[in-house]
Amino acid sequence: MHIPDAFIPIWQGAIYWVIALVFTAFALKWAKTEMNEEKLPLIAVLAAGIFALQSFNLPVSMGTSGHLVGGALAAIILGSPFAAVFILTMVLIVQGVLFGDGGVTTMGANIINMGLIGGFVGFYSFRLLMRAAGNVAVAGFIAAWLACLVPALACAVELFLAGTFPLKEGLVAMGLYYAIIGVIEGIVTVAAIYLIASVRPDLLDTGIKPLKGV
Amino acid sequence: MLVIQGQKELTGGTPQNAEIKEDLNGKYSYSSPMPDYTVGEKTGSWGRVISIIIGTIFAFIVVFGLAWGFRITTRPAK
Repeated sequence: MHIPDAFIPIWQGAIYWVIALVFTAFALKWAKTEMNEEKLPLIAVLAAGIFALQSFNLPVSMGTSGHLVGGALAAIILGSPFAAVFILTMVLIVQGVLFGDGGVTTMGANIINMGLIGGFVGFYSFRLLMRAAGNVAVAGFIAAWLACLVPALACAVELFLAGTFPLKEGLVAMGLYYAIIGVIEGIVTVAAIYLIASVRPDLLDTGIKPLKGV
Repeated sequence: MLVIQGQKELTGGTPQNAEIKEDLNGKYSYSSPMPDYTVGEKTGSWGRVISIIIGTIFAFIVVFGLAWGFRITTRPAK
């Protein structure tokens, strides 16, 4: 899902960068106001964990591969979609600048896809599903699955707008691959929520009462 | 040598164009037009492992340092 340099025209990359910077500014504001001694190590551990998760490419069909995103994980655990934007931005900067994993000119698009869309879709779908179903496992799984699938579809649309990849094939391919990878993302996200809830429930900022009883 | 960060080329039109090859043992391998990245993909398996470990530690330090900075600057005065 990491769009490399030269896959998107510079002017489109600049637009994505501006949008990403606006939301990154909101994310930095969130970090400034929400940061405390308890959350500080959790945020750093989540960033390290998401970096590691994204580093392992999962082979899908036809020789292609994809990876977990982690946007929903960060947003659900820290109780804000801006947490995902903050963490994913930092992870993508490390990946792009130090390891060439994703482009620099296209980093804005990657931040929008994985941090912004992944975080917001994961967070709000989790909240909606918790109200509807009231089950952490179900809500967490579906939210993480959506937060894996929707950014992939957004990536396909961006590559189409850039003239790099045909829309229909891109949507089908990315949608199919990340619908499969999203299952693993859902399992990992639910496992992480339950793990933290069982060990340090005070660290969770989900705003969902039933989670306290896990 | 100039290395453009993240430079990668499409090798085909769509993932449906993935080239499927059969080796002598009856196993199949695929050449995908659009594989995703892996950290340290050109450094061998051990290089990948070391790259991922270094990157994971670096991500932790960067985010911890930034978050620590925010915590220091926003700490209420006693």
